[in-house]
Amino acid sequence: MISVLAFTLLLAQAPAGPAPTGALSRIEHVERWVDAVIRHRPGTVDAAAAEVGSWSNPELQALWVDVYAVAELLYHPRMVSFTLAGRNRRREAIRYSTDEFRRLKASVDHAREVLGPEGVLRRGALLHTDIAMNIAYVPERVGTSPSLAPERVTAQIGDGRTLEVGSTAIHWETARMLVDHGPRDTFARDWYRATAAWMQQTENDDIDHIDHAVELFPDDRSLLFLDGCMHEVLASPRIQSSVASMRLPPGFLMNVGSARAELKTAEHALRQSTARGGGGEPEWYLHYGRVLDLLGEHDAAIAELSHASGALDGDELEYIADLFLGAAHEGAGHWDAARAAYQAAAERAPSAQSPIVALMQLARRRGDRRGALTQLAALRDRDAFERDDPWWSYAVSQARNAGVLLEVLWHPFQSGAQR
Amino acid sequence: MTREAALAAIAAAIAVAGASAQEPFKSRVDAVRVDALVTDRGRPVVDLGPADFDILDNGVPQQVDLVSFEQVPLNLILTLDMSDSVAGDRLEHLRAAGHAALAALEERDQAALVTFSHAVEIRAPLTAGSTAARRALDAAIGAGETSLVDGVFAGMMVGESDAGRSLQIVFSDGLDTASWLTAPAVLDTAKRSDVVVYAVVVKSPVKPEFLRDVTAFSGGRLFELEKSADLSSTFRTIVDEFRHRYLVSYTPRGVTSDGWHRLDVRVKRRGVDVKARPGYLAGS
Repeated sequence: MISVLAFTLLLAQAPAGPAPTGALSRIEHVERWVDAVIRHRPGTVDAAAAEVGSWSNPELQALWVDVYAVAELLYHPRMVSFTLAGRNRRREAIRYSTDEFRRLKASVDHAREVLGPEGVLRRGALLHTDIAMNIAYVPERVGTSPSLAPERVTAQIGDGRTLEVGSTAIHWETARMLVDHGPRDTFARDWYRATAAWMQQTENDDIDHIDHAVELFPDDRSLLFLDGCMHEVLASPRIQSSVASMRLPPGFLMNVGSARAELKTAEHALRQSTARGGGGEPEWYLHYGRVLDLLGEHDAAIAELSHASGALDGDELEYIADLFLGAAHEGAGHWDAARAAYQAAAERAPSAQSPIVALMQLARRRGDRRGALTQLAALRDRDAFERDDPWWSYAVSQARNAGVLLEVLWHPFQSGAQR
Repeated sequence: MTREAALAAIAAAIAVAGASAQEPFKSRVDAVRVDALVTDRGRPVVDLGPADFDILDNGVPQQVDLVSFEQVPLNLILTLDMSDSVAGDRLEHLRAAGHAALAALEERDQAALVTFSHAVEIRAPLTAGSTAARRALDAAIGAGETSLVDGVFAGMMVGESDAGRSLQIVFSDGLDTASWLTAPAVLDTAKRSDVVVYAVVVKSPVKPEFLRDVTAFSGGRLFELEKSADLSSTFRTIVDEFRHRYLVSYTPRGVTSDGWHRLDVRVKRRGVDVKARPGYLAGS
């Protein structure tokens, strides 16, 4: 399976890139964009989404700068000059000719009149969200974008290897900028929850997205949970080995830490998600317990996992909890408890492979030859094609409600409750 | 060593080879087996006896009970990566290499085939001859993620399912993405096991750290090839090298029973190199 890891380039000294090319002028892009925002039905890939989705990345990067000006003008109609912090951190002016500015302002006035300032920002964000989720881009060479616009660098990962590193369309960045221009309200929170979950569910892992969401909503336990899960994934062998095989252009660094550093970040976020006022979803304790165990805190892990066990949503998560409890007990030297937990996992998921190898390894460690060979025979007798091990999809299990979260996000716009 | 003592030692070796599946693993160490490769300027030295070996267990000199060479049949466990990353030419080269290793077996030897993608499959259990492993090798196809650590562990256990002398040859791209077991857990098993692990990878930007460690702890070797076309000759080299290893055994005396035992295997002959596992782990 191919997955995608999006990340920020650190210490990037990005060169100025070529001016956008295309049939439309800069302001024509803005006018078409405003029209697309008004026409787009959220949750679909309609003609409006297809049109904006067809634009090249240089066009989108030029648009990003102008949409930033649009967002400013929505709330400050008398504004006549705009500055942006470039990637070199210096503020730079966004320059328009008199005619360009007149047309820009006319577009903004029209959009504000039809949708209201927040409607423009929200529908614009949803337009770019739908494009980002549904329209694939071929990665281009890194480091050619104009310095004022962000650059989205992604690594395609397959079987623990980085297949390709490239610059891709900045729809997520545009959507994020629009959401961030609006109030920090329920829409913004729900948008971050739904999109972060979608990214994790589809393995389009975006480090900045969820970290930024937590910065905006530091008390949101669902976002803290997803943030913790993201860093738990970054600590996994799949990502760590991919990062190790990644060849970045000169001058670029990657913001993925070592496995232990990522686990510590995950532990911090998951501790916060489970600690605020008690309660919380049992699944949060499952992930927290797992991360604690991986950090070597076995007794604390057992406490958290025991809290989750028996209250989880479905057999697959209960299976995972049994498996994790087995590992934590094994780490703590509680051999009988470890064996009991692994056996419970095996009973919950008879076609799964992981409890068999766990029991075999535990028996081998304990000098139980008969027990180890019994498990070896069990492994030999399993038909690989019938194996279905929830462990193999654990890394995305936390985001299985992404579809529901997106429906909740789209519903007011589709039903007409929101402009 | 007197003739009577030598006969007793051979009888003991036969008893070990015929051990049943009911026997416990050596959680308490009664006898330690060490596979040792002795070379002189790269060529195997083949005329050594027990008196030629010195073994230090945690620095304490031990009495070598038995040294055997080429007398004990070989168990070959091929543990091969059949994930997405092994496809096309590489898969064909791997199949050819597997056949090359199996062709190097003798009539009394046994062979097994373990493959791993995300699923670990014991496609041919340890059986006399190579027919079953050959058929299974021809039928195997590559797809899925990589449970390298689980696969190496399963292969090691296949080797331990028989008390004979086991060689595990692992081929992988070196990157684990789906295992349940952790590398430290399987390295712990390697430190307790008599199975010697050799591993072969095709060079990539990623260091195959797990395979480097598991081969080092088991007394085997890691081969990093420039291209997969060299797999067949490498697999043959491994089987040939393994056949020229001595099986040295002793009963530990004067050392504690549990924990890590550092091993130092020496040969009383100038200019020779000795390759053996660096130690073993006893107890839980």
